Amino acid sequence: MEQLEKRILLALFLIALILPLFMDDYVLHIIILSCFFIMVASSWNLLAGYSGQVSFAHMALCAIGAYSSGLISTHLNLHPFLTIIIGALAASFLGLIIGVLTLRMKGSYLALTTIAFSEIIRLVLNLEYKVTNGSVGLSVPGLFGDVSSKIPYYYTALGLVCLVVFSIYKLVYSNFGLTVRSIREDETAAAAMGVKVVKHKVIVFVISSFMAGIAGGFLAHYNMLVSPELTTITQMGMVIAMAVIGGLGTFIGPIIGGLSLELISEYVKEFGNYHLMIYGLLLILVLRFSPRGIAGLLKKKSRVQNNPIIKSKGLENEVQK
Amino acid sequence: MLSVKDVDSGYGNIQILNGLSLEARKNQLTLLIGPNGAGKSTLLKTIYGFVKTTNGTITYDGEEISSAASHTLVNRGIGFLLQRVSVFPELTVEENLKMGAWSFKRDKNRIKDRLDYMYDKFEILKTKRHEQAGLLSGGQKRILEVSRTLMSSPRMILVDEPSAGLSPKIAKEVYQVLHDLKDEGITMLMVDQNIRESIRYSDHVYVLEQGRVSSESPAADIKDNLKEVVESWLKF
Repeated sequence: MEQLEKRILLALFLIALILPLFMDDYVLHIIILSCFFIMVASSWNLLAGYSGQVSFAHMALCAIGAYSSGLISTHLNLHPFLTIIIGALAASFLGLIIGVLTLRMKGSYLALTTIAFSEIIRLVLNLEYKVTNGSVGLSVPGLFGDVSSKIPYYYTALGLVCLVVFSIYKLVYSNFGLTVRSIREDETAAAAMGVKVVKHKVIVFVISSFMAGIAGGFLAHYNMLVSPELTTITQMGMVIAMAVIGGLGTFIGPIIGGLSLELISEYVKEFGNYHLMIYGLLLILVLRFSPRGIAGLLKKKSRVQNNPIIKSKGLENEVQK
Repeated sequence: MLSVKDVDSGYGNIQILNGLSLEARKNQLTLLIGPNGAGKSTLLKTIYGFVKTTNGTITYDGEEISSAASHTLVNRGIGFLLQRVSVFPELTVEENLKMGAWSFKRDKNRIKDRLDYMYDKFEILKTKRHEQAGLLSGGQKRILEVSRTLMSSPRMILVDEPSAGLSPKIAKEVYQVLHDLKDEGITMLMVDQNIRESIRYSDHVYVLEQGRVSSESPAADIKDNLKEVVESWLKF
């Protein structure tokens, strides 16, 4: 990870730590939702950005985590902290099944299969109303019981984001991460090095599903409600937009994307679904001018400014043009 | 060292190799030539487990390796230099080299030794070790691919079209590198279309036609009648 990324992350973390001292519940609520999206977008980035497997089933797996946790905590009277983990395990189990079923698929074949899976989950959640309460949504216990303050949820969300992001960091910058990135670049060449390509792809699927499940479980017990809305293609599109606008295949990208797009969406909410149009426009602009997203632009700027040759000739601005 | 006996293989219902038999002798560079579609690259992929054998046996140092997975072959000391540009473009030069040491990825001392060896051998890789591999020139990419294959200290390398897409000058350098490897005791089985150049570095030549060996001879014997050999392919 580059120095600039480290500085941005540290600054964001320090601001986040003291934010509840200055901000009201509404702002904290938005940041909590941003944390949820950062977790989902980062875990999707691990799958799509680092291993090259573009899956559209991520929000469905997130919903599996949310519903599993919600149902288990309601019916078995277990604490949500425990059921969130069980829910995440359920999501990763389904991730394993999808991973195995789609292990030789790439590109549009993988995308279509995962869309189909996502739709099946959405339909089941809608139709099995005796269990899931259908489109009305399932009421689930709060993570902190009847506590109405946002602060415990805020710090839990912050802790979970740190945990997810740190785990991704350790993975990406390990031998495992190097292997996964090489698979993204060239599967055949990776196999020629002796890499067990299929096994690694499935493992990434399982890990990212687990993280999506954690995020889903947390959201369910924060909202005290979980509905099939979570599995819609619109929600999946939002997560993809966050990762791509922030910077696909970059570590900090989904964090910037999740935070900024959730903030934008809150402030343009009064225009109804027009916020999706803004996402779309942003996505087109980013793909046209900076395929590596906002993080890509930051990296480029940092490299130009730190290049001794460019620096010595005072050409920073010229190169950036 | 490597023996292919009566091997059939292909893609789905399309059979490419038809009872092909040949041998790659220890410390020699064995060259496979033949017209397009003769099955040269398919043979290398079959040996490396990328294409399954449907019949026949492949043995390496007396042990059968027919349809063995590529990771098993890497562990046994066989490397594969692919035909097309296969560097990992967004990884740095050093990360590419580390991927070549994947079979002993936890042995940091050994990886360091191998990296030092490669940097001594190919100065350019040391200079560019923190640069993205995708930014290297065509020749530098090929050198990186060769070095990456060598990271696992293979005793044998399957080489597929080493000069494809390279300028004649760079191609010559690559051949020289391969020739030096042979002198270091590495056995090679090489497919190449650039016959005039590659035959100069070879010890033994097999001519493949329609998925089987049509003739074989020491490289020295075929050097003088290359024209006739190539002309005979035009019949197919």
